[in-house]
Amino acid sequence: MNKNEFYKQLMSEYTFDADKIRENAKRGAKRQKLQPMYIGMTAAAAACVVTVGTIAAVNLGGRGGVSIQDSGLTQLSASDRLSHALEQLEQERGSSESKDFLITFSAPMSPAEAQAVLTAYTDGSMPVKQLYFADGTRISNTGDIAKVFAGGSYQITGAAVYCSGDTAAKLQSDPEVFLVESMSQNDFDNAAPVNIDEVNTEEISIPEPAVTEPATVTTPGSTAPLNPAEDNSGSDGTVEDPSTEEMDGTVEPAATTDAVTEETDDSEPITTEVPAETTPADTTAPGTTTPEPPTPAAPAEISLPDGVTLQPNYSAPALNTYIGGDNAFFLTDNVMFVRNGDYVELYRYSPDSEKLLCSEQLEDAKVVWVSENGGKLMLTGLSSYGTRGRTLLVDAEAEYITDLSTEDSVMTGVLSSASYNADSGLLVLNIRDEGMYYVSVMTVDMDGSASYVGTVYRSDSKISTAAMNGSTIYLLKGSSLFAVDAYSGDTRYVMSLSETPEMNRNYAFTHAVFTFPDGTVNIFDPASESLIRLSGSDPTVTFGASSHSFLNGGICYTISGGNISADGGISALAAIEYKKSFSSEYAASASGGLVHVTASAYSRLNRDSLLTFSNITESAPAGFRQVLDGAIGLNNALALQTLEDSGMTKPETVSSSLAVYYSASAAQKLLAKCGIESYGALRYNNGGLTAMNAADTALVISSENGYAAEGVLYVKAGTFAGRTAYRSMNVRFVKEDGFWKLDTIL
Amino acid sequence: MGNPDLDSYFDAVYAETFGAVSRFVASHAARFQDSEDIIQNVYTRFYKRISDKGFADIDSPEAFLINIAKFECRTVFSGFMRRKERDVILSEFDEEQSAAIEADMSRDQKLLEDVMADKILAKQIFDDIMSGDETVGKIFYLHFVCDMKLEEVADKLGIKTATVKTKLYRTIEKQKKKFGI
Repeated sequence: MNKNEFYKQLMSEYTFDADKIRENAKRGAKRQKLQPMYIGMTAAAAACVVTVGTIAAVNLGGRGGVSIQDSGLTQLSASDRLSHALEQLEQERGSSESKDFLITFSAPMSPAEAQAVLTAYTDGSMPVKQLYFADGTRISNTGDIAKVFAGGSYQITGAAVYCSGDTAAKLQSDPEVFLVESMSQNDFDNAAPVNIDEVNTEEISIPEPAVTEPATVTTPGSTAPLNPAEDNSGSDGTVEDPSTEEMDGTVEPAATTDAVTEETDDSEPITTEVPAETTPADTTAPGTTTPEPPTPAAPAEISLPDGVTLQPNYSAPALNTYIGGDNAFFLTDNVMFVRNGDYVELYRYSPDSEKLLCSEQLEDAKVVWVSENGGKLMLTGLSSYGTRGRTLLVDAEAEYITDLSTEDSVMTGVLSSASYNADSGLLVLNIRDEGMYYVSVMTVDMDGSASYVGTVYRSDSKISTAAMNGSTIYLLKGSSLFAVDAYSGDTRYVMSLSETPEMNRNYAFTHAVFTFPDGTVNIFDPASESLIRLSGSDPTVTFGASSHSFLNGGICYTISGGNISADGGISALAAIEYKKSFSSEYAASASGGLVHVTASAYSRLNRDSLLTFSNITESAPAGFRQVLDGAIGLNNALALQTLEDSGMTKPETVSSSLAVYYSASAAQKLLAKCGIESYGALRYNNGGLTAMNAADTALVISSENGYAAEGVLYVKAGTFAGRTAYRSMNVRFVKEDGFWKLDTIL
Repeated sequence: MGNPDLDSYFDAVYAETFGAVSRFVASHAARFQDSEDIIQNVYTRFYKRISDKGFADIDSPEAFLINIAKFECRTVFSGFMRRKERDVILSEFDEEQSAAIEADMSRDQKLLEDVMADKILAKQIFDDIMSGDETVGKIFYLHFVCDMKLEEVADKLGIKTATVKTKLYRTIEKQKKKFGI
């Protein structure tokens, strides 16, 4: 045998025990504790990791840890220790920060019993630094601790462990545990489990929890409406109670609990939304001074043919569906996304039919990304491990739903956030697992294929993914901002913020919004690595699905080169108002468990028009409005193809009616446009005309010389980002036979 | 054991993929000492996954396992950074020294068979390799077990070939003196 052969055989035999690994894999639902999980966790040093079924001793150096008290346990009476501990522990509830805790068991127990108690609220492991026995002795050597748990007859009265505050609080609730106290360095040498006999329980008053359970956690900020229906614009950039519905944004709440749904971060509990334009209030006239529309009437001298009635006030009927759902919006012109309980679905819709395209079960679904131009979105939800760990890609264009298999990476950890940057094609997962945060990267192609790149950053304190530019991920850790390369993991410091801000990020994962305790709001622009401070008083920043445009104070801005500029373009608004804009035909909402469909404000007509968001006041001499309303009534009868219902059953009647409100020239054009012959049976088409509601119009006449008048007709286009917009068209009136008539086709 | 079909599938996949997975993990784990735990986790996850959800949708078990392994090797990048820092402090073996060692490596030694038969001594030699810096174990495993050339090992670990040679040869020389092999 030569040395090459020797080392080959040596390394093959001693490196991995393949048989043991195979059998352990089959046996163990619980995974083995990894040593690297403890690297850098100074307080876990010199700890013995107690695992279910196995013991793994880890000796990594000095002992650390943080105590929440300064006095030391030995200076307190047993009763004071109890009071103090319970008070402190309630402050720890929900905390992911790991510390040293001294556990006093209710009664001495065997190593197996102690192990069962200590690991009951973790994934099966718990770092143990010291053990206390009924005879008053203690051990802290990792080897000795390992031997105790490996078997033997011991009466354990307590243990010093290193765990999160939340785990400690849960341990306190265990009947086998009498008390859980945070420990200082000195306590390791001096303190012992509390003597239960010395505790005067009558003196103990258990404090009210300072921090509530996850379901009622109070998140910072409260500017967002609780009822999403009150805010159609969404509320990203604001902070909402994660237990409530609708979070159109990207709050980064403080690390709180080990709750299965964990932080909601940039996710959105998708909910019901009623488009503003469908509400009765939105059918009122534009502007604040527009008079009530008069009943259409002809000038005194001329009148409509007998039996003809016109409907200038027209509202598109709601297109109710029989689709069940608690949230719905269109992703394409005719494919809508629906969440119905624990299912997410895609439907292809037309007024005549609705077809279920695909459906997937996803508990507690939250939107984490929406394509800026519609068509696709990503959701996270609970995995089979009961924690947030699943990610679905919903593709309404290809009409499928794909599982991106993040569950296999997250396992029993929790997705603090999942952020997708479409430019880079990278999905950044912020995974919290046993008190550690891992930033992992996956490539996700829009065909649904995903591949794990690697874990590029990890920390034992809370980190938040802020934004991304190119392959650079920006992370917020406390008040410091870091940049990490998504492929190499190279990390560099970017800036230190004055204080730890509350952080939000947009769905597109292109910007972060920092709100500081003094109320100032800054937007982080990763392209320029600069902060843009907002000057207005409104702290609400809404990005929706937009990469670079946002709403603030009712104004739409676009970020470019580290600066913001006002941008009222409908394309910018459409990305922000993604729930209402991805179909030019329909808008969906859900109420009462059913999905409702209405006409979309983002119609092609509106998109192609120049919209104005100013308040419009009607300004026209008497008589013009009456003519206009009559013309609108005729326009509607043609557009809706209801001439017969309006009493116009013959071409002659149509011509006579048009002649009342339209100029001879305009009337001829309308007849031609709709294919109406002068004589014979009435046949026609809608000529491409669009029905409108006279009540939603405002007429402004700018010039009039006795023979002709010109002006602008403003037509309410809908509500965009909470503000009413109007499209405008030039109109001309001419006086024929002594009467004003409309010379424009609407 | 539970489902026989499941177990037979797992056993087959295990036999088929263990080499690739262990090679991947050995290459990417920040610390080679963690490799066995990582491999254990990879297969534990895999077994749980196919227990819970079946395996009909898994086209390539190896690709699936490597994806899990990527996640388990969470510290891969920080590991690279540490290694880069350490690269610069090593002196390199010159060509003449390298040739001498390689020649010695190919020379038959009856003693080595006896050493291998002595389980205690063999384990001591193995532990000695593992007690070196975190890349030494990887280099030995990838070179001797995975039959990778030193250039390939260097490429896989993101370090210079000269550094790989230095660490390998230095450890072998050290063991020659320490254990008389």
